[in-house]
Amino acid sequence: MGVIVIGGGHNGLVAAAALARGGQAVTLLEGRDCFGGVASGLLHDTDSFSPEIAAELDLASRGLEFQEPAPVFLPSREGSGLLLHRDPRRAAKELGEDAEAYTAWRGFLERVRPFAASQLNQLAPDIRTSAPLLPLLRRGLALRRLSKQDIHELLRIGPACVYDTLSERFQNPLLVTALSARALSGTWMGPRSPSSTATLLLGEAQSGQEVVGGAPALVAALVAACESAGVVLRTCARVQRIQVNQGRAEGVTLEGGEFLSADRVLSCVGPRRTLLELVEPDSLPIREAGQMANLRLRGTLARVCLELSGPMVYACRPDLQVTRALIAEDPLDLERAFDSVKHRRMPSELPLDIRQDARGATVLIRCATMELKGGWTAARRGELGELTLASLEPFVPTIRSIARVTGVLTPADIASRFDLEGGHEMHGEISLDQLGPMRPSLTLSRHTTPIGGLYLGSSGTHPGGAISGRPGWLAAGVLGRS
Amino acid sequence: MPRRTALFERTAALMTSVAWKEWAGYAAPCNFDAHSEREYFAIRHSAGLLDLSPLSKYTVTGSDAARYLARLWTRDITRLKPGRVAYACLCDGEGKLLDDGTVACLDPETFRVTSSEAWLGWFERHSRGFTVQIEDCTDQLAALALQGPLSRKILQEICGVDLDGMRFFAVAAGRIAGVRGWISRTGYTGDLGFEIWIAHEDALAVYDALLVAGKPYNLEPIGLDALDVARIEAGFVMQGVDYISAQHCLTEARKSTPEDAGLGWTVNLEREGWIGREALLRERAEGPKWALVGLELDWAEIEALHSEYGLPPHLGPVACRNAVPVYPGGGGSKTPVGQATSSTWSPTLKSYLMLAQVQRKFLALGTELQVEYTVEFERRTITARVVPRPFFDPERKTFTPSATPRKASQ
Amino acid sequence: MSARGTDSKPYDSIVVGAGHNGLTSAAYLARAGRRVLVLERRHLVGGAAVTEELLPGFKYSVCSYVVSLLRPWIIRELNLARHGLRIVPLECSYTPQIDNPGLCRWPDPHKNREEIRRLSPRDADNYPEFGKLMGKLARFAKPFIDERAPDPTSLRPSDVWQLKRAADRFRALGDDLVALQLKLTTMGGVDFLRQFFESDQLIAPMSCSGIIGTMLGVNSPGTAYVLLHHYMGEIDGSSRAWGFPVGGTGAVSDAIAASAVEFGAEIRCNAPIARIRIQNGCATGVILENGDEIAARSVVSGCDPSLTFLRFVGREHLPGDFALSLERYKNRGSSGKVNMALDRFPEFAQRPGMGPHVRGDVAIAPSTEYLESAYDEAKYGAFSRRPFINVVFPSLLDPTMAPPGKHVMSCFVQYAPYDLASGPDTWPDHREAFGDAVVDTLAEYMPTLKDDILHRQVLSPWDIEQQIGITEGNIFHGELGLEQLLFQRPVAGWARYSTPIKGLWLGSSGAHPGGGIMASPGALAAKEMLLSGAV
Repeated sequence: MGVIVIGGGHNGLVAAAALARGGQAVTLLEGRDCFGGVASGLLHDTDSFSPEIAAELDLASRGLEFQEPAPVFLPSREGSGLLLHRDPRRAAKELGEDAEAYTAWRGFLERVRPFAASQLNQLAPDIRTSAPLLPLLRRGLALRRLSKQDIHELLRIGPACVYDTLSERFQNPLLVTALSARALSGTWMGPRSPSSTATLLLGEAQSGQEVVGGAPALVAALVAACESAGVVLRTCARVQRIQVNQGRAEGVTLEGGEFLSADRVLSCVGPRRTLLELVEPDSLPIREAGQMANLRLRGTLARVCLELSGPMVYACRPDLQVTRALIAEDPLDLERAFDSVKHRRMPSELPLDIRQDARGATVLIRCATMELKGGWTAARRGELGELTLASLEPFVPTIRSIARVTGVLTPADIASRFDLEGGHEMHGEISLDQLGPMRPSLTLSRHTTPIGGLYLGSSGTHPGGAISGRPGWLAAGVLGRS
Repeated sequence: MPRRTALFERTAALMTSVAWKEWAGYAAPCNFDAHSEREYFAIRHSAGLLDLSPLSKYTVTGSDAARYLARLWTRDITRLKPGRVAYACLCDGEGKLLDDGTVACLDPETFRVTSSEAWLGWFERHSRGFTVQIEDCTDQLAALALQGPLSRKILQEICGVDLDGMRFFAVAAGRIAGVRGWISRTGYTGDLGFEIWIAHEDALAVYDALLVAGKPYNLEPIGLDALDVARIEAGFVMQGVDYISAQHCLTEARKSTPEDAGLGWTVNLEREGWIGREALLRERAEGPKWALVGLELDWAEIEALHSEYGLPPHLGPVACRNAVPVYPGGGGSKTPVGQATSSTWSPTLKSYLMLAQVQRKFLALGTELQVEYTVEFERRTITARVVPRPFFDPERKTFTPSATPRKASQ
Repeated sequence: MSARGTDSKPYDSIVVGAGHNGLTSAAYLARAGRRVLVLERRHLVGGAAVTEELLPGFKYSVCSYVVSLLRPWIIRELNLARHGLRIVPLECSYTPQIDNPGLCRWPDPHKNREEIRRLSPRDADNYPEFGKLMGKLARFAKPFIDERAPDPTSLRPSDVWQLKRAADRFRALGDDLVALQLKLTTMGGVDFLRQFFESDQLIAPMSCSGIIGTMLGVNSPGTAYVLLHHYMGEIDGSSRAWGFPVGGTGAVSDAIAASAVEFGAEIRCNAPIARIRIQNGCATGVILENGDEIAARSVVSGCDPSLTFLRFVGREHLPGDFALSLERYKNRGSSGKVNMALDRFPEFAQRPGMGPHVRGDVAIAPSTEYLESAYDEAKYGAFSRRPFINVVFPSLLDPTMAPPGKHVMSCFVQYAPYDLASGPDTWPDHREAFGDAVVDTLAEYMPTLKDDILHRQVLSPWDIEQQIGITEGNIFHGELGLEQLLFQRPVAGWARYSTPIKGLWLGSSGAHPGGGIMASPGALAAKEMLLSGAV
């Protein structure tokens, strides 16, 4: 018997390792031929992976190391661009007149961080009407450790858009762009969308040091941790049904018909797919079915790989060699990109999130809508590669002579290759109504489901996020205590 | 503005009273004369013909149709055989009644659903994951109720289906007055009767054919007033009167479970996977709170009360749908223990009847209660006794003349 | 009444601005026996709720044009009906389409059902259910507009108690409604509605309510909650009805003014103030533009917060963080107004005639994409070439608004951003082009319109700022975003009508509960002043 974990992404790996270390017999089922999910070749930022989880799972002994994240370079057509360090002291020289405001902003974030981090590292608050009020009040009181001024500021800017929040502080549009871009990943918002400041704060609270070697190193460490803890790891094992009997999960049936029984099942694939596709429709109460039917997961992510035959030379600063770059000069460039998402059309100019090494560059495009009018055809795929080069060209004039487009993944490709419903890398958009006690929905936010023995632990559950490991960790905790 | 059914031109011409009411968005006759007495007696002694078209009607097809319907309705539709009809409840996720209606199995993958109001939104919302198609055929399909002891004879004259062999709650396809349709042995009068389902454009021809065939049998077109008296005698609850659909209740207290509304018999809590089951299991564990009872008022008391005011007893010409409070027997307590939601004078039973929702401790047969009764603007009470429901239950309702011996099932 | 010179005996209170909120404050203060003076810059009372006759015989409700949330208790307490207030319910909400009959939403649920069925039978079923859910949420939200805002950051027992009451009511909603309420306050209008409906032709006009007066689009998070206002409005107890005041919205102001005067308030028009007089950190009166000084024990402003504090008070008198918050306060007028006098009724091609479908409001909102595109243009500093327009024909509801057979047409237009890319001061160069865009848009639905226009008045937000005085022409005195509502309206900690300046109160739409012809802020401010013993 024991526990079956469905989905071998980073959350599934974290959960399986945690459960196995806690003494459970764990089988981890991954439908693809490799582990890691979005961490295996799609997303590249690891700076939101929880260091506490790394310590708990003793990932250091599997070779995992953390380092300060590399600075991000934002080239510009005029001027010399902006090389942005997280650390305000290192950033000061580049920021000029914004340096003081940036220091103040980082100071504010650091003051808010302990509160925000505490919310991310524990279960979502239980605000169901049947829940006791006291724990909720206690959380409210934690907020009061901030000064009244900070609380007021938090409440004022939280519902506002990042464009307003950042523009009232900073002069340099490149700085505003860099900070805004971070707030928008996983959302269906532009910098002018209200409440994007809240997602900015959430992202900032999660981010810290990054993994040396990036996402592949992290996945390798997690797989090693699972193996040493005795997890049975299976790839190419796609789950077709979660078998439910008398309101309890009692195992899974794989594609091909193999049945695996289990006391408990933890699903680290999206909550919507878990409940609406893997479970028979008459096993799920209509409340949760309705909630999942209304879950929004409109993907906006595309990826382009470039093979480089020489170094990328940015015209505005030819001597600079960087590993991370963001192509967008003005926050309104991001807004225009979002306009194309809203109207389901191809963007005309792409903001690009670039991670490069000696051999090549991986470019993430966060404004390619899954719901493109006319659909994602092969021609459109080619267009996306061409647009990438065209958008880079003003900043890296030699790009066409040094780069070759080797792999374009449209949102539709991402959806099928990474098994992501809606092509959404977080199994549910990041928005105020799909966060905290509402992620993925009011009655599912604490990782349990109305089906006995079935738990949810993907990034579609609290606290969401990219490669953070927290949802899997928290779900494993709930399952382990049950 | 209410819409008109396929029969409007005929019913309007037959009606001398100009008494219309709105039923589910359609204009429906209350009665054809100034008084519904003739129509009532037709139901009980010959036959009455009613335009049922405003009923919401759906055709559900597909390989998962039975399993899907079994999830929505309280009865196990997967066990419903072709040619059979089931009466069942529709509950919300909290086990509160939304509506009641019928599900007819036309073939293993085709079902006809009827309900008092429109539920397409609800049906489609819960169809995710099932291979089914749901079609709202309310406008395409007209419906007629032919009810009364002579209904079988009248209908047999114009249709080829063997009605003598048709069991209670059976349905069959066939030709009626030359047009294709379905006949079901169902009704809302508690008498022998049939319901006829035909295409909108054929409705007038069938209606006319029935009137002609029925003439020698004293068939009468009937309206909703006569039906109301008959359905109370039959002990049938009515959505919107005896219970309020949870969809329309503004407070939790107004909602009813099937048990509260006397429809607990349509519920099988052992069966899994239907909407409302979990909540109703909790209700069973905690014990249901309300019950539907049939009350018979003490006629002598009514007479005595009226004579106090120098009046003869007054019998309303139609059934009354104004709810009145019910108090415990003995007259001591002024705290209501329920409410009577429908009441009528029964011309057949010569008795004053009420349907009431009362606290469960008062449900035993013979229990005495007091119900509010107003004479000359003064609110008084009358003794009422809990009596078996249906109040009127003739053998002909279920009797099948040429039934092949078979275990009676419904 | 002394027209010139310095008044000797101080007033108990001076009300700055005779908009409907200022007049309401004055009426309540006078009703309590206080000596009140109302000062109005223009020649007539009403502020943005005025009726003016710009072409003889044709009366325009120049700015605001319908009433819904005018609080019934204020109508009762100020005897407004006796002072001439009459409100005729709007009979329909019509959304025309160019190539089909469009959608009429009627007060009659059966008619409504037939209309929506044509678009989607499923939506027709869900529509009443949606209405019922919204009605429940509206009942939860309604007390918030009738009492002062709860402050979650305060630990004062009375505040904690008020918050606890609200929390109890919230939990009493039950899980499903709690979730829905949270979604309503955070989601975009279109996303919220898509949970219930599939027809874009239905969603589009419904989603409009969330964008009125804001610089946001129908997809912007936070725009869903204004949907509630439609279920909170009340006329004759029937919720969610909108009404048209007989005589135009100026008649509302006139009725409140008449009530105030009857209670003993004094109203002086053509009396623009230059400054609110601050002595030792206290408001002690006002200084008029002509130099006159009028003393008062208190001053209540019916003007928007930016005008009140940054212009009439001055930054130098304000605490630094309060001033900073005000500077960051978002006004951002986003809507304009086009009023037209018409030679005859310009029929809609797809639903001809002057039937009940036009005796309500007409929304030019053919699709959500149309609305979102209108917003996109405005975002980058241009008026929408194909805007969202809310049209009312006042002369169909009140024949005295125009000569017999002639008509007036009131068009609320969005988006017309105050901040044009070329700067707000360039509005005079764009004003007529903006007016043309409105007429061109409408002419697609009403083919004869262009031939019927006798007179046209175009008001951009810049014009509203110039004429009415509202900063950046925001009709609500500040965006109705979550960060500028409840205890944060206009500034966190100062939502109880008092201000950092002793003796100065704010009773305008820039105070809780906000904009629209509601009169709540004015009434609640006066009640709070009286309760505090300040006057």
